[in-house]
Amino acid sequence: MEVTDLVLIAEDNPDDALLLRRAISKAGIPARIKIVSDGEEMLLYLQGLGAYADRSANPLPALIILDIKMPRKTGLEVLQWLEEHPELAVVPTVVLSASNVEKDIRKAYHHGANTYFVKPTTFDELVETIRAMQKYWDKAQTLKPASTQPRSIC
Amino acid sequence: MNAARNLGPLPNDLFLILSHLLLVGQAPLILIVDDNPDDVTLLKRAFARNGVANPIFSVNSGHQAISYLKGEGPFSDREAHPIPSVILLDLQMPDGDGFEVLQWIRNKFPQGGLLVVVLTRVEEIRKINRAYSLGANSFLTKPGNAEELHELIHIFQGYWLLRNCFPETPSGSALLDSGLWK
Repeated sequence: MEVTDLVLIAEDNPDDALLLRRAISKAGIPARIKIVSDGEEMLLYLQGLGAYADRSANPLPALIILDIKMPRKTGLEVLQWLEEHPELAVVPTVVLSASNVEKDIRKAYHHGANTYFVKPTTFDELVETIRAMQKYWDKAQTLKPASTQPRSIC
Repeated sequence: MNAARNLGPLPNDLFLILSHLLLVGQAPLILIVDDNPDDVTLLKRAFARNGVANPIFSVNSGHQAISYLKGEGPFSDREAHPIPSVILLDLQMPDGDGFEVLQWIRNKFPQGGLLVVVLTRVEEIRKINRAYSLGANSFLTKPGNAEELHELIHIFQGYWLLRNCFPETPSGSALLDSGLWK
């Protein structure tokens, strides 16, 4: 599998997507970020279909961040699809959801989420959460980019 | 040593620790599965020096880990040996490798009530892939010295202990009732 430094995010709420972009920028993450608008879009991306057919322009991600409640395909459906594709098991999935309901947390882990975070309620805490994610997955063994040169955020 | 001390908990972290404890009520229990007693000592020291107040238990083999989770033999008192929220799992142990433990956990806890973070010296890509395929939540490599271990545990704490939401751990009786231990 091609090794990349891409973080793929599915977030249907445009305000939350904008906040995420700002938080990632403020946290100074040296990775490429791609935000898609729902679970179905994420599945198209992961399969390299439609607008994402060019794999060199749309590489497989090193980390996936996804919301649970999304239109068209939910985060759980994305996790279920990933379960059926063991070749992608090495790409960690971080759920970032507004829900702190035990049932949602359990279901997400059941379908293979690597982590479950509740969306922080303040921007500063979102920046800190993004920083904690970046620091952790930088240390953890995953699909590591060959070069750790800072990349611009698109 | 001084440099490592400077990495200790900051006031902001202390606030997070306290607010997290208030929210979750009980700090998640960590179970270390590692046959190397020096590594276990270093790990526990790194947790203590980072101000981690979570209960930490350790067992020294894969076989013991499974006995602990089953509540067998010396681990039969469930109150004294509660089901952990997160397991730090070494892969290279003399009585069978950590992969067997990981596989056993994912068979017996299909609901994902137990998080497993591999912490080992192995870093072959084949084994990393296998660990994730078998359901490891994450894969960490043991650092070469105490300072780096201190920093790694600091990052582990900020990620898993202060921000991640753990599912409720299954109680022993619930598992017995559902026949999962058979």
